[in-house]
Amino acid sequence: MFGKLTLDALYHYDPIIVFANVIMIGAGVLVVALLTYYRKWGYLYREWFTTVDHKKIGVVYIVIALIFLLRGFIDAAMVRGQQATVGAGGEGYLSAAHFAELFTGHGTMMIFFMAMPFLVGLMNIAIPLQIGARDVSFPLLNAISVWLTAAAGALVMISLLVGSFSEAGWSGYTPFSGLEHSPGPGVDYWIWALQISGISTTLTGVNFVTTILKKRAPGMTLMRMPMFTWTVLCTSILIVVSFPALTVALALLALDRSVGTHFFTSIMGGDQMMYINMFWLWGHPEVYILVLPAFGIFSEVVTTYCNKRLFGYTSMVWATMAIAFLSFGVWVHHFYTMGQDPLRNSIFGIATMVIAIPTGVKIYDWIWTMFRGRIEYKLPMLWTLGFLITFVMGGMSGVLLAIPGADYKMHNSLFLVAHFHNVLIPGTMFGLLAGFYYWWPKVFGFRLDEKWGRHSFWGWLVGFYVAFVPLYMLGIMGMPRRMVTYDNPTWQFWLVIAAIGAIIVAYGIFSMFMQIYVSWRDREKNADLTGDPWGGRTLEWAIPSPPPEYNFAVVPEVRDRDAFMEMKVKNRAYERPAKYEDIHMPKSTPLPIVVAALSFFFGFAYVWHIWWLAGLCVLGTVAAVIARSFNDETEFVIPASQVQADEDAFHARLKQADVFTYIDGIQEFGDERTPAGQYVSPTSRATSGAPG
Amino acid sequence: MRRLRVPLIVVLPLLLSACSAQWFIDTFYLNELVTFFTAGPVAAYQRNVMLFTFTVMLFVLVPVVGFTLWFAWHYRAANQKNTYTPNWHHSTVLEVFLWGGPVAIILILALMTVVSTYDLDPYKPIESENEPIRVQAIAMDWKWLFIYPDYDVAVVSELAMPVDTPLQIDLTSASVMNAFMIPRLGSQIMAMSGMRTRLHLMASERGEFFGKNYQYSGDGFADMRFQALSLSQQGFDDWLAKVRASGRALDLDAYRALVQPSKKVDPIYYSSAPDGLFGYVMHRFQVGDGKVPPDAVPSDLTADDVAQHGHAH
Amino acid sequence: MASSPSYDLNRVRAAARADTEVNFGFWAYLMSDVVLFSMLFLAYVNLSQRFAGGPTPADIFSLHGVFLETMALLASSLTFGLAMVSLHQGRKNHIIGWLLATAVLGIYFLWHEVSEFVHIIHEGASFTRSGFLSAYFGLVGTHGAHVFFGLIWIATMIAQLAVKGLTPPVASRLARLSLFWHFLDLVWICVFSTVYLPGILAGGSS
Repeated sequence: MFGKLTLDALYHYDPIIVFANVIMIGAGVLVVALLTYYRKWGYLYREWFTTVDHKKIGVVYIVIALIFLLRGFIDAAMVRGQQATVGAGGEGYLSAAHFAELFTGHGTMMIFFMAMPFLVGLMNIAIPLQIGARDVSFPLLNAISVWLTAAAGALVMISLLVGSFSEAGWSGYTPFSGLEHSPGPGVDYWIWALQISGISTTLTGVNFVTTILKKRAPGMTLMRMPMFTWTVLCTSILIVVSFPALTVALALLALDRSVGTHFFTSIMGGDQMMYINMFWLWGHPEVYILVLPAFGIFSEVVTTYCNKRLFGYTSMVWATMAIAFLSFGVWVHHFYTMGQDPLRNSIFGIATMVIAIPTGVKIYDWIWTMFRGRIEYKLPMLWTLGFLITFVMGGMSGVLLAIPGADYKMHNSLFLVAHFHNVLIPGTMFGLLAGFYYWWPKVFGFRLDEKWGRHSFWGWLVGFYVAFVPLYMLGIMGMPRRMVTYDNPTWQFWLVIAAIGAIIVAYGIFSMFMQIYVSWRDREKNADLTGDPWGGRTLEWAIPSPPPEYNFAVVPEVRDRDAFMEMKVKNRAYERPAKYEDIHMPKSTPLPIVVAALSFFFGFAYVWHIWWLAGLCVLGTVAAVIARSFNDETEFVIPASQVQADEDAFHARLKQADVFTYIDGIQEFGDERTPAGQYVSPTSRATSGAPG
Repeated sequence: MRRLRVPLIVVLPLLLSACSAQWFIDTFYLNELVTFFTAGPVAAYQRNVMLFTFTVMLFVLVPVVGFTLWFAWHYRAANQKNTYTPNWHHSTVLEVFLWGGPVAIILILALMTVVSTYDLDPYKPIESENEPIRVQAIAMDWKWLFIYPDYDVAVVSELAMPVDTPLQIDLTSASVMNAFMIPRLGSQIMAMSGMRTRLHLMASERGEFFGKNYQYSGDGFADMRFQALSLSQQGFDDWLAKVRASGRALDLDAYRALVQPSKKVDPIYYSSAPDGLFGYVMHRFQVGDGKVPPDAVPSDLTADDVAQHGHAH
Repeated sequence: MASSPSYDLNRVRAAARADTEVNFGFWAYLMSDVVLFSMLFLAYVNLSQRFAGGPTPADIFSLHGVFLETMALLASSLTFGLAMVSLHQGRKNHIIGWLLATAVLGIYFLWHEVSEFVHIIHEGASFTRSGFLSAYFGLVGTHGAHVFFGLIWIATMIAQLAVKGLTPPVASRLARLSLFWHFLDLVWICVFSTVYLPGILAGGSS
């Protein structure tokens, strides 16, 4: 009846896991109780669970990301704590198995349930607005994607309570992740959490490729797209082309584990290296999937806060495309040490290094955008500077590891761990946090607190160096990764410093949550009346904050790369038509949460071999989708009168904030040089309330 | 200012002593940077590759960090005296340099990559006056078994070699994927079941170096280490005599007992090991369930024959 | 979207174009499916000589059965093409007829494949026997599963044509189903020339 699931699965020998479960269940009960007490279930269902609005979906993604940021960070902190306190030859407070669950969980959660949802959330929020669209191409599919991600995250969460999580590392190398060496349910949880979130991401990729190529406002040619849109286009293409490799790798591994096939086993003609090839065929493009949109965010941030056009836009576009293309030709660099011939290793090594060329060009383009600008040190600009300086070091160690001769020595050591954190934390995390601050007012209508934001920035930046420079040192000292204990007493010194670094990062994370709370508390004071708090250059700043459900009352016409800046300069920003028209928008639907719930139960059933339940879930999903396909009444109409009323209110706010005076004061767009002293910072205008 | 003087008198000597190289080395354990304190030609080559790359990469690091900090400071909005060109966004000359610079650097590194990758190919024998010693390494849960077919002995968790004599190490695994490395001697390589990989190493000074599995392999992974002993020829002969004196033979029964999972395994000496055991272990993965039955090792099975079915190289 | 009483043929044709937004999205999905199948082909080619002492392709494949299967699937592509011709002529009943023909051919194909699987497993050559057999069942089975879902989709579309008539959304879905079905045909040709042909040729020459 319940397959392999027995009450034993609920028994945890480890008091730390019991404690974590108490916290998790307690938090869950508390949330449910509060929602019930404040009678918020109806609101949640109508406005969030059934919504197909890309902006709300983006928010849901980011909520998921923040939850998993906390969980992933706690895992990392426990790993650091173990290594710092265990001492040479000691036992430490963690068992080897629990330690393995922690480093596996940390990697899995940070990549799949923190970085990816965060990124996709920002994509959801910004892309339709940047290209002047009213929604993505497939709003329903978009909602299915977000709730599938939630379902996959729930599988990771439930593994803490029922059974255990994988111990095979976030990359799940065979044959260790095979049934013989990992007989428990952990790897199965890992497989299905990744599988469901991977399918969700594939659907997102399809959605955004179509959205960006098919839904741009008139006049927005490809070479007029904002850089963030370009990078998301490249990322979406990468998703569509690379994620199926992960899907296949995981599906075949699941078959090996559940029905006894021999794809990746070490016996009976299976090929363990095939898994590793397939995994990294997805895995290396995945790195660029994560990093390219962050590059796009930095481009937006640099132009906005330097009050300047982006330097070398064409170069940037080509560099982005080059990175996307090359990312498929480098996967072997993850296993130079598997004994290929030197020819193959050389080719992949050089291909890897070649990626440094377009990346370097991008970095120089940002630097030269700052040149002769008027740089305002708002938080996103700080993140960008922190990124530029820190990322270049990660790039250096990356080129080092790209050389097979050096990698033979540094592979699997903490040097490698330091390297990829040195790339992903500044490259992705700093970018995400910059974008978080940058687009927050657009979504919620008020700006984030600057002071706590700076605390968060310095916590992350200083904490990063204190935590990861020691790991570089330890790598050079020959310390392997994933060690629950060690016998070299000199390593402990650096591990303690690294743990202190983790504490400093913890302060950065704490400050970010404080920032959210304080900003919410002071939301009236921080309100963004104009929809354009930073003197923005792209279309999302042309509409109110928060935007109406339909985004654009009138679809704008694009005449320049910096579309909104051009409108402001040519004095056609906020132009109103003679007459507004009815707007068709997609209706809310419960289908996404139904599909997501069925996927969750399917994953759970597969983990525990409850085949009847798995079968029912598949049938249910097919039936739900077929039933939905018979419904052609999927849209509703927002009448022109309401659009008119919304716009009237918006324009009243614009007048109140004296925006039109500011626009009149902007320099003529074609002017190369502006006499010193005449420049009016739009941000200082927004904060002081009146233009100078 | 007066107040500062007293502490300075106290602090200065401390600062001076702190600046001494020895203090740095002791405090930060710099003598433990085994990647730089090499004991063999392979590791020394690799250190040079890394230092060369690092030097070349400074031509990236310095300008990026320098320009970033300079522009970030100079073009701050508060400094309204600076030139401000909000529309300047293209310069062909500059872009040629921005693309050309990285291309030049990567060209240099690419050249070095090809040369060094061929030189450091783990399958390439090391040139030496001395004949290489063959070692067959089998990774198990969680220890290393080293068979010396030339001397008909086998050892667990200890790898001895005469100084200035190349080792030709063949590797396979009786369990999951493992990675063999002795950091002070250089080059890591994977050991995988049913396959054979090969690594050449040489110690050019005497000493004891730690070696380890670097690929996570389960509960006993952290303790899966061994000592590499670089001995004089006489010392190596003595060591062989010591191993042979153990009087314990590595027959298939002993092998099957050994292959059971065990942690933190101290050195075990075997005075003899059957020919072809290494190939037989691989063979059992290729055609069977990976387990070694208690009958004799087939005599007609050589490691080279079996390796042909293997995957690596 | 108000439903049109009887269908406007121009709107139906426009909805069935391959470059509408939604059909473009389906192309993007098909790209991901191409990669999915390439991975499975890669797995098959990689494992195709790993028999682990078990049966080889020559032992288990029969050209006769596969030939009939292939013909059925190729013919079903033709009948689907005719269904799309009827769509452009606005003849609802003809579409249903051609879809039924396609479904019959698809069912024949699938029935043949399943009985082949059962036969092979009965001979002791199940997917647990060797890497080669795992890869064979994995690749051919995934294609079969796609055909199965294609059949469910065909049934759904027949029902929608019957209930709703030839509306633009139905025409649009038929256009995507058509892409899907032809895609499966294409994949099968690759399966035939990667799996069966070399396997049988190798058996014949030995």
